[in-house]
Amino acid sequence: MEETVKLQNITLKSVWGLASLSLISLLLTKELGLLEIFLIFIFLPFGFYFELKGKLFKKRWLENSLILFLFVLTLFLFLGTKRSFLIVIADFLIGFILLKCTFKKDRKDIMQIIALSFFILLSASTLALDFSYFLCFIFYVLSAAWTLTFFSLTEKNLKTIVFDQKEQAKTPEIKTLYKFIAKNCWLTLGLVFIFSIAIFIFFPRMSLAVFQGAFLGPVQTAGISDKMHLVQSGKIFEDPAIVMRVEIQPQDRNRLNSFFIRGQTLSSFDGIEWKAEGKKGKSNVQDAYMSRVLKIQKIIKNDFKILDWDRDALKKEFGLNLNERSFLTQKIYLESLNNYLIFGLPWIDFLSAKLPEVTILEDHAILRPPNFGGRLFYEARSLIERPKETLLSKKTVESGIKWEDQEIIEKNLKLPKINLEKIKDLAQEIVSEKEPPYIKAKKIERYLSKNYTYALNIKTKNFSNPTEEFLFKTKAGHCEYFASAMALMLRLENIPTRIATGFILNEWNPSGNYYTVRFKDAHSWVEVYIGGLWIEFDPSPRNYVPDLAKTSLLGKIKEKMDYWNFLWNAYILGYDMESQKKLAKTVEFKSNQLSSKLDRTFGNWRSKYLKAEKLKFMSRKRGGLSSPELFTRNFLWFLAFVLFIGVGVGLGTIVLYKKMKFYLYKYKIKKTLPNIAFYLTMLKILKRFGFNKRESETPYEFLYKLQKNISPALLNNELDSSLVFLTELFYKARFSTLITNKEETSNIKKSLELLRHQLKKLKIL
Amino acid sequence: MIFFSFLKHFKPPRSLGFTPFGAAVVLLTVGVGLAAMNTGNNLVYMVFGMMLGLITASGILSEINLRHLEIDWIFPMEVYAKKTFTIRMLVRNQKEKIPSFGINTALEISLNQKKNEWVETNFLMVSAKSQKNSDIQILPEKRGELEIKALKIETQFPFSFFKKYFIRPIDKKLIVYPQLIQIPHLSLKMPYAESQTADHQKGFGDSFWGIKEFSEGDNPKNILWKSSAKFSKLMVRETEKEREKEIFVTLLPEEEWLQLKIEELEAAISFTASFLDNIFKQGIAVGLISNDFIQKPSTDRKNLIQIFTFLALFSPKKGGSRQRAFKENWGEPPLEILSLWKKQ
Repeated sequence: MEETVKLQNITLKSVWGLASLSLISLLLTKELGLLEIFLIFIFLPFGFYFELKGKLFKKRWLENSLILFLFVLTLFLFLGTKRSFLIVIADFLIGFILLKCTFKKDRKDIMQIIALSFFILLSASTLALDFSYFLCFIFYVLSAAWTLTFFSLTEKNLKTIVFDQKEQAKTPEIKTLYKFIAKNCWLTLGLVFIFSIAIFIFFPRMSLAVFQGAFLGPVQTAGISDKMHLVQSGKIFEDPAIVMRVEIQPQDRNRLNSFFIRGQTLSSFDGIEWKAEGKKGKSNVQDAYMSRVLKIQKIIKNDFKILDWDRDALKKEFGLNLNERSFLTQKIYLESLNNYLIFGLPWIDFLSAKLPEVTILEDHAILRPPNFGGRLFYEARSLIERPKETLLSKKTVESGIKWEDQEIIEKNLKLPKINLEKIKDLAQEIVSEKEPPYIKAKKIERYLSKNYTYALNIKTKNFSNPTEEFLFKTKAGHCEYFASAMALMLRLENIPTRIATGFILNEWNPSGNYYTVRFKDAHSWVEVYIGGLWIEFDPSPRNYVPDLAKTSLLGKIKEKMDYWNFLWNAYILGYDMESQKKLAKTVEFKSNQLSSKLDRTFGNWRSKYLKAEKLKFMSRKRGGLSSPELFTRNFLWFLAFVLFIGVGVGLGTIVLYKKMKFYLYKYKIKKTLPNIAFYLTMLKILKRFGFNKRESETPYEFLYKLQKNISPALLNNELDSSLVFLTELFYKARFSTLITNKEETSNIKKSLELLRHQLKKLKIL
Repeated sequence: MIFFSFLKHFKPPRSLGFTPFGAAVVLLTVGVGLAAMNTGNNLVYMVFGMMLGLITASGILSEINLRHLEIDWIFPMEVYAKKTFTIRMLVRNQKEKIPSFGINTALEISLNQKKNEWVETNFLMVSAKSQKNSDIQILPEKRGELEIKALKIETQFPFSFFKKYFIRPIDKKLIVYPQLIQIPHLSLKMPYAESQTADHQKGFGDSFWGIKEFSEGDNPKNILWKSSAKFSKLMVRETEKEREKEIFVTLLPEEEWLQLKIEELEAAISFTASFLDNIFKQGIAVGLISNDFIQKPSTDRKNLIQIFTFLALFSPKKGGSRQRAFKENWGEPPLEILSLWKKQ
């Protein structure tokens, strides 16, 4: 009874633990809203407290009504709002499990909580982005194994599970039970690891995407949109959430001359807001999107040509001799965003991504197709080499290479319909009219970065012309003010200019050789059209963040943690069919290497000993194969033969071992238990006369059977008494006293003799 | 043939069945596998691996759990109708270090060849190199033959995904004796309760019979030393043979029993058994005669059990000439138990 109470209590506590762990895994995805977090932190601890106190109640109708209400609410949220399907499902599961936990439970409820916790883990797996999921996964496996074991052990004993406070101190038996179940949990974890790794590596990545397009929407908000409102912006610069990681080889890092990660450009300005209106695009379709009802599509990696450089013109006009070192390839691990932009270093000319198509806009911004806003890994190649200043400063707006349409140039010269007199005066103060565009741009860039300060908390009073207020009153602002002011001044100087938005590479992680890009790294700068090229200028005097790891221990820890997350992203989340193929190729390559190494080793051996008669057949040329080829083929056959023999010997050993174990056991019985040898002899005698003892029979049962089967007429007293004597003596010898008595030993001999004699008689009769 | 005999070494002699929970888990695993292939989400692949790992762990641990177990059982000596009896199941774990958990042992029983039924008992944990026992309580509804057909050892350990079990046939029959009931004290007249004849014989007993000269085979304990001295030769004491009080019951004529309804027949048989048991407890030798059976009066419990066995399987038949034969052999008529039951 005491054991039952203990099992009951431990099952109940374990199930609470399992539910909590699954909810923690969901919390760590950082995708939950405040309400969900609040509910979890209220219901879980209080529910557990009341469970321990035995104050939870059971009202099935109330529970079912609440679950039904939750279901209807979820349906409404999914159909009525634009919330992501995954988030809606996660919310529903949270509500369901919390409801189940806060009512009194029976075995059915416990089973439901276990199942719900599993679905929550599954839900977390679709939302999780970082390494913390892996830790939750490990703890979940251990906890699930523990809970399921106790759930299984209470199966026969308990129909209702209620926490009982009468639990006594742990008995040694319960301690042993805990110890071995804990061991089993670790064993289970080991097996789970083996299977997970095997499945992870070898299971095919079909990526069929059935329903995926219909249900899965973007999860995280990017904060980057088609608009840039000067007064309202600012909050994004305080958000530390990671947007992407940009992997660049350390040797290439030195070649970086600009640290911009470009998203798109904004050309239209009304004095307050920059917009990306009316941009024309061109689709680059690699893999036709099958727009069927189920939206089935196999997603594979495709290569997209974004820009086609006129190499001759670039060489002629700007002295750019494009070679491998002119370009830089970045591996970008983009998190889930609510826009469809592809980010990268400016002047991307080549893209490789698991996308069916991309749209290239007129400003060379790249868009993913709809429903592909989730996590994405891609490789982008950008032209990083820029024309020399001396050459650029000689160019006018229209001289150089002809690249853009007149319409685009005009769009980027358009001025807002506000009073720009003061700004124009300031521009004319900074630059002279005759100076070439590049010099003008450089002067304005330098003027702004030297005379104005960078600040995030700006209190704007003049809402109609915030740029003017920035330039003449506050003299402080964030990057958008600087970029806006520069763009406006250059447009006033009749130089086509546009605002570029994106991020800045700020936080280098030396452990993983990548830049961590966060929302707070959002940045805007300007692109100026000079000689047919859009050249970047950054007027913001932004302070660059030094390497965290060099500053403090906490920084180092943060850097390492981020590196683990990066590895998780790159090798776990980013592992796909291409990676599988790559791995298979690596294995093939390595095995070939090993094979040729062995070949060489055996080749030496062959050349040394081939003269021997036995190996001469290897050197003979057969079927057009030369001697070394023939040797390689023979060697492979030899390897296969050795493998076959090895497997055969292995299996044979197992069988032999099993057989030997059986005989050894029998021998051991005879050797160590001479006491019962007489009984075995008796059985042998009886078997000879057709009375065979079944394995399932106890000696007494066998005796009873004998007494019954031998007809009373033949079963004389002598035979009966010897059988009874030997059987009873067996029990005595087997389970208690050793036979040392000489008299008993002689009696055994006599009885066995008698038995043999009587049975012979019986046979004759 | 060689191939199959070779394969036999790798096939454990156990059966495997899904529990409803296990079936759901397996279906869910297939679902998660498909979802993983569909989404290409690597974390879902991990969850898929987890489920496969759990299923495999379940198989391995349950296999270890059932290995090297020895099951033994102890049946009761006597089983009576409508009286709970206990079968003690013993599970011995011969493993060196690993305990066995959640072992469920069950016996397949059938009373009077009617519906088979599994009765079971559970062992939470049997430590390594130790044994545990647990009792199965059975309440037989009727007298007759209780057949124990098979033994099942089952485990759902560790995760209740699968039932792993093996069944061994047991050919064991227990006789369920008639129900023993409380019967009022009966004052029976002689000659039923006393010896009918007054013949005295020498033999084993306590009463003095006479003195004789010692001869080989006599018990030296009986030597009378005073008489030996008197007669100058070894003299021994002879004793009178003890005669028992006895009662002989008859079920004859069986035609009368045939006229009883089933409930009445059962009640009469139950009365007979209880009556004989009561008498036996008073130290009176009891015997029984019917068409197919005769048991001379005796105070040996084995004889009483033989009577009970007969009564347990008794069903009246027509005909038979035992009564006349009995009169010829013993003279005095035995007690007709049916008339006595009817009077009661």
